Amino acid sequence: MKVAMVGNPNVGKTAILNALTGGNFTVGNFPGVTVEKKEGIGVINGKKIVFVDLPGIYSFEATSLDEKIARDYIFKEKPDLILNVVSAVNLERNLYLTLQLAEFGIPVILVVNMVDEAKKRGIFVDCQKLSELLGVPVVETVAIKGTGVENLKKAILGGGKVPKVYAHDIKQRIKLAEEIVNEVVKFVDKKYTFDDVLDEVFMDKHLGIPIFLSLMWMVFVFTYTIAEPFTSALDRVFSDLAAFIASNGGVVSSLLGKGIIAGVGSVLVFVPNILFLFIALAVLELSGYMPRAVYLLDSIMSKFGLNGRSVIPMMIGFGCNVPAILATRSIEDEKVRIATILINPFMSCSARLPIYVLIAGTLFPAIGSVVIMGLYLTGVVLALFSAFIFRNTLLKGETELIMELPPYMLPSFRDVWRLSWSRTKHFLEKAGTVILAASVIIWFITNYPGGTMESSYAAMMGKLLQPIFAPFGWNWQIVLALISGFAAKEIVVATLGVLKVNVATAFTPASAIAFMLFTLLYVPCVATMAAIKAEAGTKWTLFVIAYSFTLAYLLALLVMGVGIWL
Amino acid sequence: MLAVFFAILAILEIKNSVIDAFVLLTIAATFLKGAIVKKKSYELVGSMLATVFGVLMILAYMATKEFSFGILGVVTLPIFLIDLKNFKL
Repeated sequence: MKVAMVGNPNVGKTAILNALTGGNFTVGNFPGVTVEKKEGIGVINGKKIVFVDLPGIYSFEATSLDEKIARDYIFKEKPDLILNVVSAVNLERNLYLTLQLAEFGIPVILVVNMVDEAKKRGIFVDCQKLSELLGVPVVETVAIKGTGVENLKKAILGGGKVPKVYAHDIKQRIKLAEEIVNEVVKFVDKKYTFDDVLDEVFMDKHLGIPIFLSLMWMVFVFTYTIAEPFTSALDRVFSDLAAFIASNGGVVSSLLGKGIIAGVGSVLVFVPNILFLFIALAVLELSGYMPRAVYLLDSIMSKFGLNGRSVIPMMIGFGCNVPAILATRSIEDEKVRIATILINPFMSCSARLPIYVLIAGTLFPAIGSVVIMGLYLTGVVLALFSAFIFRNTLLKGETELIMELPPYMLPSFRDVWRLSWSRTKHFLEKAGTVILAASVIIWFITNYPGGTMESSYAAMMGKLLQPIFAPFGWNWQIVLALISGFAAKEIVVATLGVLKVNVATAFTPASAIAFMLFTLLYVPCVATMAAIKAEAGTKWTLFVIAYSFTLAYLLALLVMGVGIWL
Repeated sequence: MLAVFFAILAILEIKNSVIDAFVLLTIAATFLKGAIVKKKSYELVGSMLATVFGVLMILAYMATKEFSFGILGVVTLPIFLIDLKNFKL
């Protein structure tokens, strides 16, 4: 038996899937957690049932990728039963989708979830009456607590019924949903809930944005400062291991020590930062705060053709661009999603920080932190500027944000860990494999054919490409460091170290700023490009490479021009 | 009273970190607005932010040995717990 789960975003479909299957799927308190369909197998009274959790949608019009996935699945796969999950908190809007279900001719069970939250707000749903009106079985649940799940299992075995009510167009649906809600929903005096208390302050027109910025700063402190001892410990482990293995001599030891362990290790040392970042974001997301932040920032982002949901991938981009690009999946509008992907590499990821610290610390010791903060801000400004250009040329279109504010919840440790670990694991799988391959290649080109760096393929390449960067006054070693940064930005500093580049004499102040600006903007690392290719396709990956390189080159030239003029 | 306390902490913090000072100023502004509009909700959220920030600054001190006046935010923990209880949660 195959059962499809259909409903609006953030109504608890995944939580119901977990309750029915004993599964371990990631749940969120943020619309758009399920961006692809996922399957779970449950056994009810010895009967094997395949549950398919479809992305949250508002209609079957198939205007977004999510709606297309859901509609195509139901038409092509023809499941035996549809579980239509609706939120008791906002029944009327949820029913717009329910009223389209008769179109498929498939039996339906209506699951009225989050009844506890509704009761807290003085909303009571008469499920028996609702069942009579729609002609389908109706079950009340509180999925995260497992309440009503046994009744739901019994109803599933009963098989559901094809709805007897159907509305052809949106006007009919709105009218019919309103009529049904008038009959089945009773509003008792609306209480001043805890959600109202928090919203009053978090959504305050004066304090909302400063509180958001304060919370984001706390996320940064947690991600970088508090994770630092773990990162340093890992760094020591990998450095010692790499040095120990390489010291044995021979090609295999060199490949393992100087290539694989040094290369992969340089990425793995950042796992604590990534994990801490995802833990902090999971707490904000599961608590229900994140959609409020999205709502607060929507008006600012819409000026640049983005919407509030673009903020989260941009914030994640400060940690690492790879998970940030994956996080764009929750953006429903495809053009906004692509624009958000394209600008993400301009957000200074943590791998670029060592480059800034090395160069700014050496050449501008008195104002190092100002220079570094300036680079971060430049990245954000250029990202917004680029988004504005893309949305008015290649990705033209209106932007709108439809999202429901979910209730605030105290996130459970289990859910926070499940969400953050699943994202960190994804980072390890994606970045780890790409970095492994890149590390081997870099080891090879820096060791062959001559056996020394000076006579290596890498040196040849650096000398060959150096004339392109001649206007900036960078020598071939610096050019080679930039090329190695193509694999991972961390390797830029490592390469400068291996080649024994004296930063204080190799750069002038202008060429140093040009270099830092160039490393901020030029081509994304291999792992980021792999993520862009997976999410947006080859065409956009090539575009982002060409665009970012051109922008980096032109701005570096501008900096040099201003430097000479000054 | 709390608004003044956190405003003083913000001024003292400027020398250490401008961004930490901004957070303390935001907390002060939250308490101030609560006092002006006479709503406990601002006190609840202000003390929650101050407590979380205080705990984070203690952890940051353990990691880096750098002191921040934000650590003193933990003194609002009892206020947060009392307000939470008053909202019958």
